[in-house]
Amino acid sequence: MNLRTLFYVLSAIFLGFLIPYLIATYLFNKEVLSPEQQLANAMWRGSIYSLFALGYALIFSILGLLNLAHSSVFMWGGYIGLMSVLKLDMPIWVAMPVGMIGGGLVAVSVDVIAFMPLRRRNAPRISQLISSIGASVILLSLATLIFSSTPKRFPQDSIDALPGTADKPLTWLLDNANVRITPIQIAIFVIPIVLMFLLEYMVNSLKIGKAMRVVAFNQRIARLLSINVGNIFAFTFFLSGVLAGAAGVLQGLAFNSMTPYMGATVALKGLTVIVLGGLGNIRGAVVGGFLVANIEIMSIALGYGWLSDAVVFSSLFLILLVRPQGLLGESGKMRA
Amino acid sequence: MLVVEDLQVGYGAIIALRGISFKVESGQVVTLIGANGAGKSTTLNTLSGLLKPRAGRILFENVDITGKRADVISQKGLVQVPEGRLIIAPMTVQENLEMGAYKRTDSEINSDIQQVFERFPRLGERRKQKAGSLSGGEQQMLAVGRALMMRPKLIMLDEPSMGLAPMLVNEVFSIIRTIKAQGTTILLVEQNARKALQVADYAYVLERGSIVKEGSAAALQADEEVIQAYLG
Amino acid sequence: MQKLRSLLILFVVIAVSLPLTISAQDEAPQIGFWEECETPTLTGDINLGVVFSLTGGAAIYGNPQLQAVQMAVEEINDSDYLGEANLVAIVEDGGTDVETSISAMTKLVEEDQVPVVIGPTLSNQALSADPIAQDAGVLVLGVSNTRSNLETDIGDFYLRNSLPEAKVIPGTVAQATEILGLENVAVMYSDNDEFTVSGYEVFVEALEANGVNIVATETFATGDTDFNAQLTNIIALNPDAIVVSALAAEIVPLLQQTRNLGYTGPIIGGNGFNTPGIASPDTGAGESANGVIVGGAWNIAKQNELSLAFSEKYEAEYGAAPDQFSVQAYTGAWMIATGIRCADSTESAAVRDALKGLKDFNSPLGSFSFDDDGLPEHEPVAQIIVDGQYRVLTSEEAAAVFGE
Repeated sequence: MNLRTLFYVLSAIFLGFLIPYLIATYLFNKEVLSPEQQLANAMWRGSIYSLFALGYALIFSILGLLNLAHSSVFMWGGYIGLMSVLKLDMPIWVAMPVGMIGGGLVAVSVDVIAFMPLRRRNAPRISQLISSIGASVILLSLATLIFSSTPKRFPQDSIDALPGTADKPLTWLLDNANVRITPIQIAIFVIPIVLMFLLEYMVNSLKIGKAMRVVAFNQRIARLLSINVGNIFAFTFFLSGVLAGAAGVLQGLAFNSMTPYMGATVALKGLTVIVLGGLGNIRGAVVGGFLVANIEIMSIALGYGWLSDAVVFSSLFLILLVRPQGLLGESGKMRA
Repeated sequence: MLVVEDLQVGYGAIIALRGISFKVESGQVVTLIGANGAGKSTTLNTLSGLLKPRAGRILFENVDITGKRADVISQKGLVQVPEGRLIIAPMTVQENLEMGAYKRTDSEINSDIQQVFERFPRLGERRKQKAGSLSGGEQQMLAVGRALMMRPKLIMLDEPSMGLAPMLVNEVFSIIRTIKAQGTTILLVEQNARKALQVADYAYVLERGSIVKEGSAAALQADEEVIQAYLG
Repeated sequence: MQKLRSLLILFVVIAVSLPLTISAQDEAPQIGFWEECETPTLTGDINLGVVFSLTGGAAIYGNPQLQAVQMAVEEINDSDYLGEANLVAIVEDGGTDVETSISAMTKLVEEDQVPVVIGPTLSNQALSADPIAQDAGVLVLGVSNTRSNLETDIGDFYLRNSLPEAKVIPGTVAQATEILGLENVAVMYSDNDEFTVSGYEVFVEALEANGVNIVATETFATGDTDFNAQLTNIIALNPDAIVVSALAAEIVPLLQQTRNLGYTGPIIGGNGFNTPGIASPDTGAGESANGVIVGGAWNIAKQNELSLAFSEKYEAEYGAAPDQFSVQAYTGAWMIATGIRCADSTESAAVRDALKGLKDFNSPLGSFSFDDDGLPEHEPVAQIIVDGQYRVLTSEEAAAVFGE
């Protein structure tokens, strides 16, 4: 099962990176400067997209609902991690889980405030969608008020404190090619994949994960099986918040700039990713994340940077023409 | 064991139950018979906690469970096997049974699963298959097996024979007899009144949200009006 | 008896004021057109509207600006630069957004009916709020607006002493080309922001004028945080310098990523780089900012007597070294007072005409004039960030960062 995921990730890279690369080089004689480095760039951008989209997909699979406040939870998780370092002097490996748990709690409060009252009244999905937009705006305004809109970043020494980073960037030599990868970028690549495997394991093998799948399949059955559906919802929101928080902290660490608006850029990308991967499909979210990142980086590498968004959305359009349910989506029922 | 007093349920302006009262004694098979739309499924769903009553009281083992959440009620041992064989299609047979034991923490879960497989050997053969790939009869077996995994004190069966071929209908009723023989109390809701009255000890007749007749199964089987309306 | 008394008073007044005027002359050269224009005959209070970003993201610029203006107003009143009249600052917070600055400007123009306003802090605030003053015929002096064409977009009641990018970049590029011997550079800019796009265009023009070859042009969007792909393209071409037109939020991650990818050469930036925060190890790019070259209106290392005197006094008063923004604000307040003094009037139009005719005004910014188009003119300073400090760009400083 997990090997299959890896296979899918590799196919995403193949589709999004290798094929355009080969076509450009051999058919159009267009040179890609340092493709190895660009591949590395695509890998960690993809990791963050995947991690972000995972939480989106998780909620969609369980509630059949888009939580448009997810990008604000992502931003809050990042800021909670940042504040733990700035104000409480926590080392980064403590601040990271703090940011994740913080993101989880913010997500649970989004559920309690924006979704629960509407769920109780059996409100239509569209009201819940609008309500989540409202929650997103409130979270954004609160963050602007508390953290101000001035860009902030993790102090350099918090990043240097990571094991093995004392000596600045590591340089990997691959057949005369210089690929520069900082330890933080390795962490950014490894952490989402570890989290993704944990999530898959949890959903497929643990009791609570199975309960989530039952809720996703049919809430009535879940209730009759003594599953507390409200708790499962809260837990799902918590998990998605944890994933978003991890993505937020990693994004802050990776790219050295955080503002309350950091969620806005990722929000649309995340949506694209899960539609591309197959709505509510966990593996699809990961594959979609890598695919979108690879397409973006490749379009920049080929010198069409200003077109990268257009390229991404055209690919989305093309893929949906061929597979309306998304790459890994199953037609008909969604599944966790 | 189960006492229902003056239960009223409605959906918006529609009144589904107009204050019904009935009892299920421990060890009995009680059946609610009635036409489509009489309020049978509404009754079960209200007992299960899926619907909230407007008025009335439900006592289970002398505890008031009126308006409690479904997951709380099923945990007390009042378990519904829902209509339409709502099995968890994307999970395997084995996983479906495991989910029946979701709230259990004892060590007998695996042996209970073995028991279900002994009782329904066809399920045992298909334990690794996705539940969605089972036949209708097998799905009904699985739904009952899953309910048994919850170690119910009172099992409520909602239209277990609906949509099944006549041979399978007999099979379902033989399953009900087996459960009864093991001492589990049963509340059976059925459109097939003839079959239901054959296995039941006591019966209530539901018409447009009210109980219009009750009596021992034997007595109702002989009742002219019942024969006219439901057995004819 | 009465005569004697008035004589006595006269004597006392002379005795007291004599040492004052003598000591004032000792501190020469002094800011202001003391000789060029007569002391005005005005009396009473003259209201000066002040709008700066005192809250929000731009508060890091706005608060020092306010301090500098208050310092200038105090000096102007204490020295009787406006004769018997007194300058009174009416301070409004312009926030960091457009809306707050509009309501602040409306209040000053309509309620307080001030003849002159100094501020607001940001170019987009000026573009939105200043037309209110323009319509009412109230003079506005911008002291930190660097966007091009504000004069034509707002109108004839708008003047500024802050150099637009078009006046800073050519000088910076010329000096950098000369000192660093640039031949091939790569250019990166944010293509969805008016300010950064106009900065980019000015850079291209200046690079061409200096015979520098542009080997690559990469774009990104405001709000982006990942520039690795574009930088990878650029660095593979091994340019002599990377020229960047971006806003502060994008600059910090961009610098960090450039250095992480192994590029150690010069990074030439537009006005967005003119924020001390960029080199801060906590909130900025820290060491990665070393080797950044940026033109500015002023540098603390600038050897100019007025500038030295200002820095000393500002630091004594507020406990921090002044930045470019406070120097411009300080100079701005003195310029307004000079306009009033030379016009001998508080009429907005008269003050504006006097101000517009200002030539060779000695200030901490250097010798300041308005050119024939009403654009500010003074010598910009090419700066280089060395060990987190903005230094004046010289070949010695460059060698210290990049080696020979």
